[in-house]
Amino acid sequence: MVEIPDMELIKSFKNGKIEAFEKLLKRYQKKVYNTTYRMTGNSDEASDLAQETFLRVYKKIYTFKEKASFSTWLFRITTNLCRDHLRRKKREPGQISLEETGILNKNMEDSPKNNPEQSILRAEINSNIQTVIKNLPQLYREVIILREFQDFSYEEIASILNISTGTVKSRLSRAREKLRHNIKHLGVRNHET
Amino acid sequence: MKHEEIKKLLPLYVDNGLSDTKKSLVEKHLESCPECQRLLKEYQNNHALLSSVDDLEVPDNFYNETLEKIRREYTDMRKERDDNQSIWEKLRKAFTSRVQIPAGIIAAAILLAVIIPAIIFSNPSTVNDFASLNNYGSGNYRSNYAPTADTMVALEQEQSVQKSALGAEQSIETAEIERKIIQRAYLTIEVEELDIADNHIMEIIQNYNGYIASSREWESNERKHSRYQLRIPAAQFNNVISEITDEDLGYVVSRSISGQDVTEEYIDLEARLTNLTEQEKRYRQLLDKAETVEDILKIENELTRIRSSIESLQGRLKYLDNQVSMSTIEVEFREIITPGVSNWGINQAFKQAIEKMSNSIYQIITFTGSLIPYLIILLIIYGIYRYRKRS
Repeated sequence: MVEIPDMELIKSFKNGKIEAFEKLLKRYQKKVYNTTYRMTGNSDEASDLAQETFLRVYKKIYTFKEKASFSTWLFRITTNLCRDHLRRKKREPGQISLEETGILNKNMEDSPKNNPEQSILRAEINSNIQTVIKNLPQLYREVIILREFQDFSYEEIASILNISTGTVKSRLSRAREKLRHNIKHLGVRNHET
Repeated sequence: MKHEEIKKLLPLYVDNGLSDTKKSLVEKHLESCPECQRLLKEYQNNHALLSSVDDLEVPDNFYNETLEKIRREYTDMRKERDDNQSIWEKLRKAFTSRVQIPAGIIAAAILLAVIIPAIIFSNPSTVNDFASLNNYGSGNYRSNYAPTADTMVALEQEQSVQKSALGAEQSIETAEIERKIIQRAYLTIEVEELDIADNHIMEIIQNYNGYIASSREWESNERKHSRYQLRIPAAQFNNVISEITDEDLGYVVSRSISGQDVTEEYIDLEARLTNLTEQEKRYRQLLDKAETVEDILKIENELTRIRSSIESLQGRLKYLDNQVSMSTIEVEFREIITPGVSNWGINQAFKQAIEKMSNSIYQIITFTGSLIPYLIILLIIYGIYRYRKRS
């Protein structure tokens, strides 16, 4: 099946075709969900945030200027929602779910493709990665998620976060340095236990 | 390039984020540096690890739930709208409340249009804004957008109109006389980590060719603060402010921006300066013609007086030029005080208990210590008493 370009889908969605929106949702839901999941480390919050993102896309599609690419616009909404969410969460520290601490991992529990041993191993790697990411400051977490996980180019990240490419580079560079530090730290701890 | 500098480039080397010249520098250095080779290996491993992580599957019901949510909101909006339409008064109320925010802006924009029609029409972005503003008004009734979305659009429109108004203002300046405005901003921002904010400031300074006039760091009540006075080229003033107050950096506690118009003073100074230089010229001509010593002395006195006022005027002009061409931004960062989590609170309580305990022991010791002289006197008296009794 030939993929219909984003722009055409948006055009027909603006003309009132709801199917076009459904196609866009299908195309991007995984990417958006994974981004919000890496940002929050909590699958419930991630799914709420991702839904909120699409809701906002639906409502505000008419403000989308066709100059920028759709994915840039979409991820700007995503990161902004995540920022708001995390800031609010910080103000009112409530309960921390088990999942966030890495004790429980919903997403890795039962994937039928793998045998149990493998899935446990994967779950461990995943939760380690999540811990490392979580320990990064918000500013660094964003660039790491967008670059390493979502594979956006420097220029795309710059326009998503509305900063210069130079800033992206220096932020990413520091983020990787910090990440290396954290991973090393974690590795040593794992070795000891 | 030195080893330390190369080390800083390594994180970007892994995914080709360096310019060609830097890249070749790094490669050259790598041949002879085992430490950097090791570091690079680590960076590469991390990069590979993170980018190889499989995407998680979206929860099963995600797709349907999202559509359901949208549908619900959509029908809610429609119902609300229908209700409004059935009662004309309600609709009008809704309309007025809805356009309250942009109304002021439209009025301002119209005012601008009346005062400076030529400039507005030579400024295509403003025309576009008007068009989009109108579109937005009619779109309000044609489709079913939520009021929240409306206000957001309104705010966005507001910003863009303001921007274009600013553009128009700027074009007036160039059309008439060059306006001299000293721009200043004072910002207070709460940040997660002071380090990041500091780095951010350095980046901004580099990216916008500014400099730090002064900086200060201090700690009060276990809260770290840092304050910078930045000088930024005037043209970049707004960009820099928006980058500093960027949401991702922290929470903006206060923000004040002021513009001091010194055009009048500037023109005044310039006029006086040209007058004085003319005067100086004339005195010099007189000096050439002067014959008696007395005359020469008198004229020279006048000349020194004029020279000194010229210099002070020039100094003032230079100062104004500097202030106008470089705007000043004062930023104060302070760390957010994170409210204690329960676990931490208990630790703190134990800590305080131990502290208080050692404190009280200390006080008991000093108290007993202070009593020693009296105890000795009492002992002596008791001894004498016993001695007398025995004898």
